[in-house]
Amino acid sequence: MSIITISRGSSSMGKAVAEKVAAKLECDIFSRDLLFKTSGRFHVPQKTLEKAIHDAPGIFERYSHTKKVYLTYIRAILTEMVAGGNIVYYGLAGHLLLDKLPHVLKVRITANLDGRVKRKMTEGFSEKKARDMILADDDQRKKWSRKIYDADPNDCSLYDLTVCIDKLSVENAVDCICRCASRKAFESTSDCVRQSKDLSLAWNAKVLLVESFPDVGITCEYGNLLIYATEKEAHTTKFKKILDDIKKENYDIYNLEVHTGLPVPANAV
Amino acid sequence: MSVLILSSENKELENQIAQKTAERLGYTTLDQQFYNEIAKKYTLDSKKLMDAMIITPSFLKRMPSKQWYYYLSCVEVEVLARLLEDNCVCWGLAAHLYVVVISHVLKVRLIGGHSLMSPGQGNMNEDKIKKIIAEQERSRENWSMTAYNRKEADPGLYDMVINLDQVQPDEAVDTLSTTMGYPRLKAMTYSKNNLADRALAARVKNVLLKSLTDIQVDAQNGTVVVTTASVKREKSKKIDTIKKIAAQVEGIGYLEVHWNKDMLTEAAMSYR
Repeated sequence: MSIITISRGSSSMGKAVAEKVAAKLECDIFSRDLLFKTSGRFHVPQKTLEKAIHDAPGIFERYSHTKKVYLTYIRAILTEMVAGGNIVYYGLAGHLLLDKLPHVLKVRITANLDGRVKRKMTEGFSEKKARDMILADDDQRKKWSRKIYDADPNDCSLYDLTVCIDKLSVENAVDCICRCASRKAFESTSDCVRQSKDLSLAWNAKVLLVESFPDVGITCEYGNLLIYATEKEAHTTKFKKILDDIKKENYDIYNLEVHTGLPVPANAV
Repeated sequence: MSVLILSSENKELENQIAQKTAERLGYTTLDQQFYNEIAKKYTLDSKKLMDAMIITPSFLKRMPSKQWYYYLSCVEVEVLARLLEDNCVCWGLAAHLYVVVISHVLKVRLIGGHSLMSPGQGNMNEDKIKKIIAEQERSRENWSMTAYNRKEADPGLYDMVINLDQVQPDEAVDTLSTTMGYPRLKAMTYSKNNLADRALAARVKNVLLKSLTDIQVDAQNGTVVVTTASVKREKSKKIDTIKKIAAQVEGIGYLEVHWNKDMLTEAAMSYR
């Protein structure tokens, strides 16, 4: 019952590794399906979602919170998908989107630039074009991670295991990852399943609030949903209406409380 | 027949994991105790040699640049010579910075695991531990950049990085032992020759650094290329000196000296 996220730069064989890991562990595998599902449920074009999860915010986007809204949609779907366990996700930013779940095995596949350029060239690009594309993509990922999560995708502390695909073959990397996934820390215990479900509930509640109240924080433990808002926000009719909607839409919520004037906890979504 | 090089900020865990892995694989170990042997062989002050592996050259710390580079070079020569013997686990000797692109050498970085520190350190609060670690990392990065122009924490330097925040030390030992068994890490003639070339280049650099500065040495299939810089009028003198000194080293097939003009000194001299 493992949950594995595989992060990689473009042309780093990450997809091949993810497919083999999923086959070996008999897990479901997904990447772009996440955007497809999100797009279907929230009626946002897939391209817009892809831009939100890939490109760094532009000058004007920094002052609006559209990216935050789309990311909330994506996270709500992703947490729902992983709640059942047995999943390999090799799409964008899995390690950051699921950072609140400690039992998720976060893997990074690295490769040297020359090898990546050669692999990209097999898709019919010239060497210069391939190199430029890879560097531009890396740069965009770096900017995105910095702006949205204040993190560097090359920072190894974000991952549990980083494997260089140039030294180890795809098969070796797969073997390493599968062995690591079987370790105690990554076992999907009943407590982990509960944590995943709580997180999914919190993100689904956030989906309803994020457009009008982007700075609201939500935590969920054993189905008890705690919403951290300002006094001003909590007393608006709109806020109260959304709370009613949350209660109606999420039958798994055991109790819902609104805390005002308190600092938002670090584990809040 | 392969070599495992470990690097970590957490010396205690690094030591523990390295020892256990070596035991499990039946490999020899090469750690900081080797400094005493090196100091004895080159008649160096062993405390100063250890200091050179931690501090950057500084007049105030009584570690001139020339001496510092020579000390580093002595360590590099001896470590590479020992790694040629294969089946070895090496840590604490900065080998991950000068052993590059050798297919039978697996370089692993161990990060995190600060909650697993010994009780004495465990009494510190989290913020203090984080502050100490950040300070250590900054100082190590400064050292590795000055010594080898490489950032120690750069994941590109390593074949594998294991985060010990979630993975237990014994599990890391398991992972390392299994990985060392992969056929890709078996020593081949080509990779052994690569390592031998690196060892040869290090030996040449070591003898040159006794009297010269601003030296870079590379070797391929026994051909040694020394790159240096000086003012134009000293060109032939410097090349001759390099050839004369390098000839003492055994194993050189052919020696080439590449000379570059030292623009800064040249400009300063012409101004005078």
